[in-house]
Amino acid sequence: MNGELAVSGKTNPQNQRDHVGALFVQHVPQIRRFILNLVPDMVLADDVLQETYLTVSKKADEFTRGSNFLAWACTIARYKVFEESRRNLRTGKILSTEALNAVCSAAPEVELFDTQERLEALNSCIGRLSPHAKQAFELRYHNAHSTSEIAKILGWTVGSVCVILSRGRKTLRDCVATKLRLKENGF
Amino acid sequence: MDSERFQLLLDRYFDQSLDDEMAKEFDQFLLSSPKAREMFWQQGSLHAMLRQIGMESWTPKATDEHQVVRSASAKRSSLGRRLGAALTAAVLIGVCGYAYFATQTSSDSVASNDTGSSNAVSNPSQSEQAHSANPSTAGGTSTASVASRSQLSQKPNWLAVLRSQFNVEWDNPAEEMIAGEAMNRRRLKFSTGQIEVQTNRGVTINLEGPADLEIISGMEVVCRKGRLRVDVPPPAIGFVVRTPQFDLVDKGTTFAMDVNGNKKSEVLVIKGKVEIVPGAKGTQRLELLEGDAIGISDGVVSNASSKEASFPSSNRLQSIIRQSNSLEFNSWRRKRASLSSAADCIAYFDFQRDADSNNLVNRSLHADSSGTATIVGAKWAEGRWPGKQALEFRNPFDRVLFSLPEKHKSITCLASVRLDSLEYQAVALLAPFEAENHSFRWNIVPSPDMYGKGHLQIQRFMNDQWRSITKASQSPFLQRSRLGTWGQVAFVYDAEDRIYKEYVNGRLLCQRNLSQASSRAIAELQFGQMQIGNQPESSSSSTAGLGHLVGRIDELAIFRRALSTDEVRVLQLGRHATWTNEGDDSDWNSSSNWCRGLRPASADSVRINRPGKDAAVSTDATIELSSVSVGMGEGSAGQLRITGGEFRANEHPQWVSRVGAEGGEGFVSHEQGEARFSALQIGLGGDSFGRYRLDGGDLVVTRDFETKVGKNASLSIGIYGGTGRLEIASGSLTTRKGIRLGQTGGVGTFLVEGSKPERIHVGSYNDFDGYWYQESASTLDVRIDAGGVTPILIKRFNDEPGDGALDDGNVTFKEGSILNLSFSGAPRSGSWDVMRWDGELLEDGLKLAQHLDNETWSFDFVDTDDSGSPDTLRVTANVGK
Repeated sequence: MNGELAVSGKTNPQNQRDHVGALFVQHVPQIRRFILNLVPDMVLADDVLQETYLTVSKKADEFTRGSNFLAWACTIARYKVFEESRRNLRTGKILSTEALNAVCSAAPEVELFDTQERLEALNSCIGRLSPHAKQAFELRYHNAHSTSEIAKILGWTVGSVCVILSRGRKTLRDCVATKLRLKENGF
Repeated sequence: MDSERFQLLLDRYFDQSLDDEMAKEFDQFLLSSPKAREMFWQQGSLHAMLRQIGMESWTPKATDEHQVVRSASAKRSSLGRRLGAALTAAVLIGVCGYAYFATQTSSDSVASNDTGSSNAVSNPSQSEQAHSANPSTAGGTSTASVASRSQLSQKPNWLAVLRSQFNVEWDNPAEEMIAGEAMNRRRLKFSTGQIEVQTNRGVTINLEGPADLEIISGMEVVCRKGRLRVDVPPPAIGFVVRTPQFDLVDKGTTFAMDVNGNKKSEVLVIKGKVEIVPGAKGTQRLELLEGDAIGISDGVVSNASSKEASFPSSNRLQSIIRQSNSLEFNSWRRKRASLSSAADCIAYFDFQRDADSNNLVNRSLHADSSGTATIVGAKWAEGRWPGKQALEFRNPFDRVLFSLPEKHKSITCLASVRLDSLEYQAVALLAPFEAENHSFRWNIVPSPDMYGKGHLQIQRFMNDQWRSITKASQSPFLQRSRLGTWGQVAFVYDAEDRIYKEYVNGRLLCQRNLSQASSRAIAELQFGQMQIGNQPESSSSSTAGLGHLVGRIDELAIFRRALSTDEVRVLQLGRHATWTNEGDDSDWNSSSNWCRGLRPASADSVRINRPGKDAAVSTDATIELSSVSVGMGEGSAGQLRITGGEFRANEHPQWVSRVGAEGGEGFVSHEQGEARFSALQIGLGGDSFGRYRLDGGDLVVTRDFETKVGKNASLSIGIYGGTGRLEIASGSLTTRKGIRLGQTGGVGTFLVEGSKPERIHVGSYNDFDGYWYQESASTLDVRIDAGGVTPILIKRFNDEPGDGALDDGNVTFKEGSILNLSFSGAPRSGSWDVMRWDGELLEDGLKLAQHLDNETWSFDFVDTDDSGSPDTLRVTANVGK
């Protein structure tokens, strides 16, 4: 699967831009997920997504129809993440460029990221979180709050928030793994 | 590798809580260990998926401050619902709405066969109220992926454009359209007003509400309801109007129709000829020539006496719009005077041309700098209304340069913008000429998530890079179909209170806590050498992707403080004033008692959200308004005292006045003088409470308002989950049409206190039929005094049969409707007529209030004129039984 969308029409520059724009929209969830894999700050990740969009639009003519759009867009997104890394040296917001290089060299194929199956499994595992964890997760992933903001809102310490989130993620990881294993075995 | 340690660092990294030492250690792990890199991707994947689920659970729609809060708490689907617990504090921190230049529409998308039938919970008829979010659609587009798919299918193929409109009350406020907006296949449903639509084949349709028209193609429409005039030019001969009873095929003509669903419809050929093609009921095929007029009902054709003048026309619509524009322009001029002299306004460009056309004058009397801006390239053009000027920005070179050597922790910027194009670059509305630390720029940015849509963005320059001060990518305010139309945009940046807000057309679109966007956002914003509509050319990556404005601007104001929502609303909405009582003397005529000193002019609409000692008081003057809202918006409370003179809130025939609406609490104390309203709604919307007490003077409701269920009502008490109460202790009540007590989950009470009221006439104003419709749980409350009680008269003047159920002077008591009876003064035995009607009684189960003693109280429906059907509600008390 290459994520190509069949769009009729001549390949004039405007058509090509529309075509690429449409492909981008189609793949926004995956591209955003790719960026979030590397950039934990959700506001920053959206800035990177925006920058990626602008560059993809600008370079629309360079995209060959029928080729793998998602891979192409994620390559551009990766460059944008590197740019961010250079700007955010040592702020802890993002990996250093050296670490990014190392991490990206071990990146799985973009199509293998977060399959729908995993997403569904994760979605159904969220119910397993404790009420406290649910509050923290909602504030973190729904409202995009930082741990210090969550601590302030819930009246906890930052350390407690980190621990709750960490334990919650472990619960979710285990739950997803179990569900996928069961599914694989035909349950 | 110490996996446990690395896992901890991973968690900290994705929770953004690594300190410097940990960050170095983390990097080291990743550089040295393949296992660490594998774990990194697994954890990153989980983080990304959780964020996606979190985002998809969020279906932002709200467009008002109170609704923002309310809808945010109700917005937990998916993750939100599973994560369950109510987090009031959390949702207050930052939520963004989802509205466009006016409101959301589905014009981009291919309409389904029944796109228009939604249940609007709020009931806005006025322009500013018409922007209300519709909770019934709150579960709409919820995921980026779903949005993406639907967007992909919407290859813009504009079939028609809404050329103009006046006073339109859209059935679903969330599907409101604005003049100039293009549309794909789309269903247009509205209860009042008039629109003009032109198809891509040149067919012009003038349509008057109540109407239900669906654009199928440039050559075909379906009309289920409405009065319309259609002008078909030669390229569109063969144009078809389908109705429930027949199809009309144009043969090169101008024709008019009055379509009433399955009831009698009429056709008048004004010029040329048309063909009528039978529907299922078998009307014979007919060719109609110029001057022919027919009626069709149940397949039977009859002659009709339709006259061209009775149908909507373009000329009439344009004439009305011209008048309206003139009022809007005058209203704007008053606001301009207020803005120029406002002490908090540091720059105000009204974009009205002075003698030196290369300059734009900063009209703010408090501007610190020389006050003149230089126009570079941009050309003068027409603004929002005839007479209003604007600058048009077309070329990459076009801009307006000005100097504002100021830095503030809180600012507000308002602009009136017409964006003509939004492609793949962000557009700079306001930007520095040269960026320096704390500089900011205000952009309109194409939304990567939603193709063809745009959102507002504020970026601040720090350490050689531009960064958004807050997340805004989920707040599109513009869609492609609305390019070329005017919109009012504003942002409020308040570093003192750490709040950022965006407004579009007077409605709060987005509110965020700045601390959420990280501490870098909490700082001053620096002006300096600024420019409107462009960004300096630069090879720096900091300006990459930022383009010039293609469109027009006709007003820009900058304030040195954070304006309130009321202030922004007043400045952005035309013909609108908000009571503040800041002058502290409750004097209606004092400018100091009105938001930003803008006292209402004739035909303005007014909002009163101050109760008790800050109540608005109208004394013996004559006040002329289009409408008034007392206690409107969640958590608000307002009070109006009418103590004499003439209080007329009926200058606009179709604007509704409200007491207690959208979660507010309103109270009108009418003590003397005459009050006139076009239509009055008391207690509208969940958690709303409205009370109108008539203790003297005359209350007249001169028009009516089409209710979403049933016929037009002049007076509605307790609607859409609200609680309403009308108390008549003295004076008189006269309405044009009917009264509804309780509707769609609302509960109403109508109290008559004894015999002091001079008259209570429902349907007697201007000789229209009245009616009484009382829903379950709503109460008719009657107090008997020494003189008895003033009866409520439900009048019937029009002999033509109406719709039966409501019109024609009828009275309806639904099952569970309540009659409460009591004495004012000493109890005594006797019988009293509390209601009389000219029409029919439809009685499903009126019952006495539960606490009443059935031995003492009873009621009967009495036939006083031996007509064979009851015409009077008579109550009887047997005291001492």
